[in-house]
Amino acid sequence: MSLWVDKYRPKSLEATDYHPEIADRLKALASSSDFPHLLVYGPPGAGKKTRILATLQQLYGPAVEKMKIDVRQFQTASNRKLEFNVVSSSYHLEITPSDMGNNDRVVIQDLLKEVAQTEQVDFSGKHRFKVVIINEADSLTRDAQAALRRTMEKYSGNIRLVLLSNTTSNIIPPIKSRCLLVRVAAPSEAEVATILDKVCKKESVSVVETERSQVLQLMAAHSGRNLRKALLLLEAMVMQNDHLSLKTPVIQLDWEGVIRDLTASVLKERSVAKLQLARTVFYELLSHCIPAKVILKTVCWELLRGVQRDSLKVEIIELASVFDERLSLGQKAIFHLEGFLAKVMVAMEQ
Amino acid sequence: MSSILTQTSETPSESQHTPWVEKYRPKNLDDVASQDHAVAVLKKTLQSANLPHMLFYGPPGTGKTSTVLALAKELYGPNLIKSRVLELNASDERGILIVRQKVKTFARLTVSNPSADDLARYPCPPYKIIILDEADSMTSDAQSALRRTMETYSGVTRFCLICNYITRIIDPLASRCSKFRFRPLDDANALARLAHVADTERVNREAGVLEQVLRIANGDLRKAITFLQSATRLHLDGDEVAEITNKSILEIAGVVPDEVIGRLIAASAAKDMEKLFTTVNDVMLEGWSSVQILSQVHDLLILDDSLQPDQKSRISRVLFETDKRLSAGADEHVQVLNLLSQLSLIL
Amino acid sequence: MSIEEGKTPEISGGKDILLELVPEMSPAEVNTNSLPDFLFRANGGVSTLLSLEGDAAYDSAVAPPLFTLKAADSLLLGSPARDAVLSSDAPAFSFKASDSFLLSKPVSEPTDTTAPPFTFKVSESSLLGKPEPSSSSRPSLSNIPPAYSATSSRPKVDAKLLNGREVSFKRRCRKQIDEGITGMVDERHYGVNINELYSRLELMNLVNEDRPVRAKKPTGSVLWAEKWRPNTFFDLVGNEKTNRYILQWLKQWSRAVFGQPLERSGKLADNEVNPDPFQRPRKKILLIHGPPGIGKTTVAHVLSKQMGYDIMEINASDERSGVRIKDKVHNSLTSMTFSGKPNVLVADEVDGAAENGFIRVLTDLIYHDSRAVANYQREKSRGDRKKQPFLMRPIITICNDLYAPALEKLKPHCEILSFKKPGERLIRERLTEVLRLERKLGLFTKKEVADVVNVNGGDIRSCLNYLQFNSGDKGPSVSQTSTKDTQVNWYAIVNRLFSRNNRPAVEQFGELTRLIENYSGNNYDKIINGCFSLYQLVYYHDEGLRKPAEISDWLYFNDLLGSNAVVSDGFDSLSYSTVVVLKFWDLFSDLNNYNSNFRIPNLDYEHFQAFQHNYTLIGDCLNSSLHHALAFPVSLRVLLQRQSMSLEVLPLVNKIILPEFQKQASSANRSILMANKGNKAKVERAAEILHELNIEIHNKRNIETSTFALEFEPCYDSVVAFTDILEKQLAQKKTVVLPVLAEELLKFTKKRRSPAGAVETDATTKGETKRPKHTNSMDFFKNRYDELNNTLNRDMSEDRKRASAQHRIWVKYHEGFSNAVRKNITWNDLWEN
Repeated sequence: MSLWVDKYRPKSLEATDYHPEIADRLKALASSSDFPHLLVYGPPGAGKKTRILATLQQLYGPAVEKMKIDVRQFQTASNRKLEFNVVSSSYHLEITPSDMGNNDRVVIQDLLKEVAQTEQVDFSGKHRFKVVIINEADSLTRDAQAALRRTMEKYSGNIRLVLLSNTTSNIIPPIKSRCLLVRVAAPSEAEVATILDKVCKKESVSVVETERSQVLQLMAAHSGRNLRKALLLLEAMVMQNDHLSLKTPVIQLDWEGVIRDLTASVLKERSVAKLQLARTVFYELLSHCIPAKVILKTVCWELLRGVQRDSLKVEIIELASVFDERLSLGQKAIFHLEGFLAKVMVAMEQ
Repeated sequence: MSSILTQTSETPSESQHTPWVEKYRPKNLDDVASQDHAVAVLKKTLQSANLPHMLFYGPPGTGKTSTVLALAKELYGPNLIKSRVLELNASDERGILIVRQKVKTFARLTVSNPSADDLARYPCPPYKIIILDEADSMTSDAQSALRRTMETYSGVTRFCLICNYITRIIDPLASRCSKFRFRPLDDANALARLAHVADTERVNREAGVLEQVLRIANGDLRKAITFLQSATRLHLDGDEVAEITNKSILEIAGVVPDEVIGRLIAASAAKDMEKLFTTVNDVMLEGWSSVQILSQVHDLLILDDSLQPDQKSRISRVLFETDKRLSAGADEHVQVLNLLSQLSLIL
Repeated sequence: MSIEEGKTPEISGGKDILLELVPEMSPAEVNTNSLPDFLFRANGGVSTLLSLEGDAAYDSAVAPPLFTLKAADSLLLGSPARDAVLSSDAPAFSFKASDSFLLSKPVSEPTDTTAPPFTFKVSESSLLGKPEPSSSSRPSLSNIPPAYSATSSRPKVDAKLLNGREVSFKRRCRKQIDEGITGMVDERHYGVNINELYSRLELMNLVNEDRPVRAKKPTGSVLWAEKWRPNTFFDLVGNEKTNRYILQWLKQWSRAVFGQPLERSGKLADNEVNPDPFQRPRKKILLIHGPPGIGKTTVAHVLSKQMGYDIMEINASDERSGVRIKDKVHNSLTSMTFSGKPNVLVADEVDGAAENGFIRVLTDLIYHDSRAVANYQREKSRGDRKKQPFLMRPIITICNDLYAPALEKLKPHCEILSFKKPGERLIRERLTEVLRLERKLGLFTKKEVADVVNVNGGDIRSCLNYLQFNSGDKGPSVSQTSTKDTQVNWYAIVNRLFSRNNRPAVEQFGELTRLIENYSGNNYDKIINGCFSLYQLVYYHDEGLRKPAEISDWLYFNDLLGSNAVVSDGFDSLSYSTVVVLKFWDLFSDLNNYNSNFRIPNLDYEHFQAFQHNYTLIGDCLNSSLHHALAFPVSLRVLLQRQSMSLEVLPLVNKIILPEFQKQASSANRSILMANKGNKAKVERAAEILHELNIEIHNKRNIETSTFALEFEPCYDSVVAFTDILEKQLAQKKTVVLPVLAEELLKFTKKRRSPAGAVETDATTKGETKRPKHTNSMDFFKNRYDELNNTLNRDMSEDRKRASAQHRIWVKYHEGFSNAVRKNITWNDLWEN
C-alpha cells in the first residue's frame, strides 16, 4: 500500500470532497459528445491533477488507471538526440515538456503529431479522441505555445488537450481563447481539516479525542491550504509520534526552519557578519534545489511577521517585489538574494 | 487548421464540433457588419477586377479575416478558390525559409484558366491572392524577404496582409499596400449579430447575458461568440441546454468577482498591513489570475470619480510597475501584495 | 710596442685576445671627472662607448677592466667626447697579442689636455675558464678512470660452500656512464671525485649559459605535465583514500585475472558474500569523475601498472563509434598481450557527446556477463559459450562531468568514485619538487608558487604548464600585467581591486581602468565573481550596510548585460562590465588592504556540484530513464511536480520512512523493539512504503570514514538535510532504525513474491533496455512454467498445499499502447518489478 496521499485520492468525480460545482461541470463535459480543450489552473496542492484523472476515468472507464512510462527519443534541430518520458495508458498521454528546457517546442510538435496521426483502434472506446495532458504549461516557452496553438487547430479531431498550470498569466491569449478555463481554488482550512479527519478515522490514528478538531485545525493551518502537504504531514506525524495531541509538535520543514532562524537573527541585529551568514545559508538552500523565488518569498513573509512598523512593512514588500523581478530577469540568484537582504537591513536601520 | 476555404459540407455530427466562429462567419461581403468604408472599396474592385495589395489593420475580432475570405469567395467561387488562394496564418511556419520557398513558389505559378462556367458566375480575375493573416508576428527578416516577391510577381499575385498593429509591419511592405483601417464594432451591430447567433443555436439565456458577454469581450466579436459557445457547452446536460446565467459567464471568462476586488481595495485603503496580508493570501489561494486582478483594479480605480487626478497618476504608475514585473515573469503573490501596499499609501 | 701615428697594427693569429686597460698615471692623479670615455669599435661592429667609471677608489692593484676582442677586429680608439671622433679621420689601431703599447690621442685632433694617456696591455692567457682551443668544449668523463679496470684484471673473490665445493666470484663491472643525455653528472655514480665533478659542473654551467637545457627526448622540449607524471603510487598527489579504494577494487579482480586468492575469503568490499563465481567485485566498471587536471588518468595508469596489468587506453581521440571499436575492446579484454600481462581497459573522456556507440559496447559487455553468470549459476550452459563471455578484465572509465547525458546508461553498472581537488599543500610540495628537479627553483618565490596553485584551483596540469612556460629567461611574474595568461590575471586583478594607495584617486582609477581593459579574458565574470566572493572578507569602511546594498544594484546591471548578450546577441554591451568591476574598487578598496594577498574562496563551484547532484536525484525519482528501479511508482509520480518534491514531498517522505521509536535507548535488541505494538506497526508500515517507493537498504561503505553502514538507496538526505547538526542526528537515528527496517523489508518483499496470495501479474513494464529476442515465446514460457511449478511446490508449506487446489498459472500479457506491440519481456521482469 502506498502513501496516504495516494491511497485516499478520490478516483472518481463523485468521490471528491470539495468544490462540488467543478465536479458537476466536469462530469457534464465528459458526458457530452463534445469535449473541449481544457486549461485547469490553481495553486499547488489544490487537487487539479486528481480531478483531471477522475474526469478521464469518467470518459474512458477504469482502464486509464493502468499507466506505464515510456521513453521516447526525438531529434532537435541541431541533430542532438534527446530522450523524454511519456506516461501513458491506452487512452491518454501525459507529458511535461518544460523538462526539456528550450527544446519543448520540438517535443510538442513531434509527439502530438505522432499521437494524432494514429487513430484509435479500440472500437469499444466511447470517444474518438485521445487526451493529452500537458503538465506545467506555464513554464512552456513562447515558441512551444505557438506550436501548441497550431497543433490544437490541426489535430483537434483526434486529440483533446488538457493543460495544467499554476497561473494563467504566462499562457498566451490565443491558447486561452481556444480552451475552457477551469479554476480550481485551494480548499479552505475547514475542508482540509475535514479530509484529515476522514483519513484519521479510516487509519485509526490515535488522537486525543477532546482535542481532535483543534489538532486537525492546527495541522490544516500549517499546511497552508495545500492538501498534498497536509496529508504528508499527517502521515509523517503519525510515524514520528504515538499519539497526536495539542502537545505534539507539528513537524517543521527543515528548509523553512533554516530561513526562520536566519530572519530571526537578522531581526535581532544587523551587521556584516549577518550578511556573511546569510550568504552561506542562501548557497545551501539553492544547492538543495529550493527555487530562488520561493526563498525570497519565504524570507519576505518571515520578515513581515517580525517587523512592527507598517511603513517598514511597505518598504520590505516593495524591495521584495523589485528583487523578484531581478530574479526573473537575471541569472545569478545569489547576487539578488543577498542584495535583497542587504537592502532590507539598511531599511531596518533607519 | 484546415483552411476555412477548403471546408466542404459537413456531416451533422461534425457540425456540432465546429466552432461557431467559423460557422457564422460572413459568407459574402454584404454580411460583414459595420465596416462600411472598407466594404465599399472592395465592392468596387469586384467590378473592376483590379485589386491592389491590401493591408488590413485594426483591433482583433472586427472582421478583417472574414472580409478577405468573403472577398475571395465572391471573386473565385468554390471551385477555383483552392488553386487561387494561399492562406498562411500565425499557426503556420512563416519563417524566412517558408517565405522563400512556399510563398515564392505559389506566387510564381501562372494563373490557370477558369472554366467558362466559373467565368459566368464569378469575376475570376487573372491573378492569385496570398493572404498573410496575423502578419505582425512575422519577423522583420521574413517581411523583408517578402518585399521583392510582392513586386516581382505583382502581375499574377496580390497580397493581403492582416494585422493588429500597423507599426509592426515594416515600412517597405506597408508602402506597397493600400491600407484599410477596421474600426471596432459599434454595440448595436455587434449585439444584433450575437443575438442572431444565439437564436439560431437556440441558446437558453437570462436577460442581459449578451450585453455582459459583449462587455467582457471588449468589442471583440470573435471572443464574444466563443464565450457564448463555451457557456453553452458547460450548461449542456445531456443535450439539454440549461439556462446560462450571468454568473457562469463570469466564471468562464475568468473574471474576478467584483466583490473580491472590492475586498482587496478596502483592505488596502484601511492601511492595515496585517489584514491586507491575509486578504491577499486568501485571494491568491483562490487561484485568480494576477493580470486579471490588475486589469480590474485599474478599471475600478481609474474610472472612480472620487479620486484626485494626482492620485490617479500615482496609481497609474504603480499599476505600470506591477504590470512590467508580471510580464517579466515575477511571482504573482508578491507582486499583487506590493501593488496593494503601494496603493495603500495613495488611497 | 708603441704605435706610430698613422700606422695600423694588426692582430693576427685568429685568436681572441684580452684587452687590458691600464692607466699610466698614478691613482692619485686619476680623478673621476677627468676619466675620458673611449670608443671601441670592432670591424663593422657597433661602436660601443665604454666609459671607465672610476670611482675614487680606483686602484691599479685592482684588476683593470677587461675587454674581449675578437680576432681580426680592428679597434678604433678615440675620444668620443666630441662628435669628431666618429669621423673617418680617427685612426684605427690594431693590436697584436702580447703587445703592449701606449695609446695616445692622435695629434691632428684637438687634444684634451686633461685626458691622460692610457696604456693598453694585451695578454692572452689568464682568462678564467677559457678552454684550450684544441680540446673539446666540455670535459668528458672519459678522462676519469673507471673505478674498476677491464674484465681481465678484475679482482676475484674465492669462497667455499658448506658442501666443500669451491667457487669463485668475479667483481661486477660497472657500466660506463654516459652523461651526455641529461647534461648532468649522474649522482648515483659512486667512486667519482665529487669535487672534481663539481668544478667541472661549474665550468659547464658558465659556458652553457646560453644553451637551452636539453630535455629527456632530443626532439624539442617536453611538457612538464607529461614529463613529471607520477610513475609510482607514492608520487600521486591527493585523494589518498580514493586511491587505496581503487587498489582494493583492482585487487578484487586478481582472483579472476591471475587466479590469486583474495585475503578475505571471497568477501566483497562491503562485507557481503559475493555471489559472483569468480569473486569479482559487484560493479565491474569503475567510473572516476572529477575536475580536469587532478590526476585521474594518471591514477588509472599507475595503479593498473602496479597491480601488474598492461594498459589499453581508449580516449576521445580514438574512433569510438561503430563496429571497429567493439572488436578492439573485445580483443583487448580477451586476448593476451606480448608482454604476458593482462590488459586493463582504460576508457578516458567517456562523457563526450557522441559516445553512445561506445557506451553501448560497454553496457553490452556487462549485460552478457550478467547473463552468463546467471546461466552459470543455474548450471545450464547455453550452447556456444563464446557468445556470452564473462568479463574477465577490469574496466576503468574516466569522465569530467558525471551528469552528462551519455553516461546515463552506464552509471547503474559502475562503481562511481569522485576525485576531489588535492589539497594545496600537497600540490605546492609537488610543484616545488618539480621545480627543483628542473633547476628552476630560484625563479619562483614561495609566494608565487602558492599563488599559482590558488589561481589554478587544484588543477596540477595547468599549474605545471604555467610554471614551465613562465620559467623562461625573463622569469615569471604572477602579478605582471603584461602576461597574457588570463588565469593568473583575474586573480591578480581581484587582489588589486581591493587595495588602495596614497596616490590621487583619479590616477589610481585611470591605472585600474587600463589594467582591466587590457585583460584579455573573454568576459569579466570571473573577476566579478571573485570580487563578490571576496568583498565580505576584506576590510572596508562603511556605515551600516550601505555598500553591499549599493553593489547589489550594480551586480544586477551586470546581470542584465549578460542576459542581453545571450538573448539578443548584443555582445557589445559586455564591455560595460568594466564599470561594474571598477565600482567594486570604488566601494571596497581601502588603504589597509594594500599589498595583501587574498585567498579567494570558491563557494560557487562546490554549491553548483551539490545542486547538480540533487537535481539529478530528484529527476531520477520522477522520470523513468533507465533508473526505473529507483523511481517512484507511476501512480505516485503522476501526482507530483518537480518543484513540490524538494519543497514538501521529499522532506516529509524522509520523515515517514524513518519512524521515531519509543524507548530508543534500549534499541539494540530487535525483539524488544518489536514487542511494542506501536513500534511494530510503524516498522511494518515503513517497510511497506519503502517497498512501494522502490527504496532499498544497502550496506554501504563510507569512503571518508572507511566504515560500513546501512543506508537508503537512493538516499535523499542530500536534498533534505541542512546543517551538519541535523545530518548527525539523522545518522544516529539511522544506526538505530535501519537494521530493524532492513529485516522487515526483506520479510515484506519475500511475502510479496510468494504465490500464496493473489498473484500479481501486473504487466506494467517500465522502460527497459533492449533485450535480445527469444527464439520462440512458447518454448520460453514452457520452460519457465516447469521451473516455476517446481519452485512453487518447494516453497509452499504443507497446509497450504493441502488447502489450495492445483495451481494454474495464468499469464496475461497486456499489450501496451503504441510501441509496446512487439516487446519481449523476461519472466523475471514480471516477478521482480
